[in-house]
Amino acid sequence: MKHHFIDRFAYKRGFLQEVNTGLKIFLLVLLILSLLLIPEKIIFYVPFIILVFMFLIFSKIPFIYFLKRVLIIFSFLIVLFFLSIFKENGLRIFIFSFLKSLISISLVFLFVMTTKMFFLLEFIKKVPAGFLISEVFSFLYRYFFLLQDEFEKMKRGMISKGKDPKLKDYFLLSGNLFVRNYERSERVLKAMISRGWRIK
Amino acid sequence: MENKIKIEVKNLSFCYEEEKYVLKNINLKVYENETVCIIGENGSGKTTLLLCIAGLLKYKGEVKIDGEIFSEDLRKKMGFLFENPDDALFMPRVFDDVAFGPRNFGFEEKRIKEIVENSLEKVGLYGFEERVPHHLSFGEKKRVSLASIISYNPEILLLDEPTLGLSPLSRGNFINLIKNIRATKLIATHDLEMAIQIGDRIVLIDEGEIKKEWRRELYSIFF
Repeated sequence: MKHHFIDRFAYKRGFLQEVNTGLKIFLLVLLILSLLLIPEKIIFYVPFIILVFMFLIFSKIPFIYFLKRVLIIFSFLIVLFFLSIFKENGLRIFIFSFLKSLISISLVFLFVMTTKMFFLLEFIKKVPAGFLISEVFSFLYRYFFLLQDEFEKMKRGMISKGKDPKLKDYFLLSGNLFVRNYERSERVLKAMISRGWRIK
Repeated sequence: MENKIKIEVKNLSFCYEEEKYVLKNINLKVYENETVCIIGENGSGKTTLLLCIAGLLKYKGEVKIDGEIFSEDLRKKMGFLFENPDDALFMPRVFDDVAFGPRNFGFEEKRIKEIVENSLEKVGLYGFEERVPHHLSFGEKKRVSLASIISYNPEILLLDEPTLGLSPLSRGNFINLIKNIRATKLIATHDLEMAIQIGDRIVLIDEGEIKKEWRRELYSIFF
């Protein structure tokens, strides 16, 4: 089954891939902060847009692939910004909120896409209270694709028996997936205990 | 065969629901460095027996490891290979999965890298440390699972369907790997060919009871 790993480009050789994770996160925070602080004039946003494109080119990330992923997240935000049009000075607020969020999301995506998930998780561990977050994310990252596979298999099973899944069938499949994965979580826990892990 | 009893199971019974026994009064002795294969129908209780011996299920009866009643301190002596490797590989990197056991069992951190490399080398996956488990093939996952238990040198290996789902070539390689590990092995399997090939003893379990037992001396005449 084909998966779209968020860090698939981290395994390629490119500019951002070579940068240390800590430095990358520092740069990301710095860029987003400066984006928030610059005056609201289009000219100040141009260098950021150029930077995003340069990162894309030198990190060997296909533009269309990148755009699709950014737009998925961005589509949720655009509705919120659209509402601001009806306020006083609304169009201006809309344009600059649009630019700021689009550039920020692009930067976050670029940095995440070019960092191996493991390095990202290791970095999160160093942040206060990051250990728990890192553990949860590492499980999520590990098992998300298995969940996706299982869901696809069940869906194919349904289709192979002549049923074209409708909305209520998806609910049924989700319920089934939950039960299956509850059982899986018990097996994973057993595997952890058998290798010396103890509930703290 | 040495005569020291490594695993002793006495009157072991287990039920998931009240009155519905999956294992009934099991008595079994496994000697040091012996390989015992447990065969039986689906749902006959093979995996449950292994889980009970590993102390992963609560049961009635007694399990002794090296003459001592099972306790958490004895866990280090046992390695459990799960049927589905995805259940046993839960870390984001192969390195961390293989290092998981040694770290929990208190191995020195400076030795971990060497241990992981050696374990992966033993299963023929040297250089896989930085790989992500879900990028691996099923056969590779099985081998990483095996590496993750041999990394802390358990004296007892409990293997649940080790050859299930493997291609004939991978199966052959995996059997050789298991054969070359020096440990007391208890294997739950449907693979009769493997059982005959590597088992010193084959135990048939049916409806939660041990029904029959064959020794190598007997079946080696025929196969």
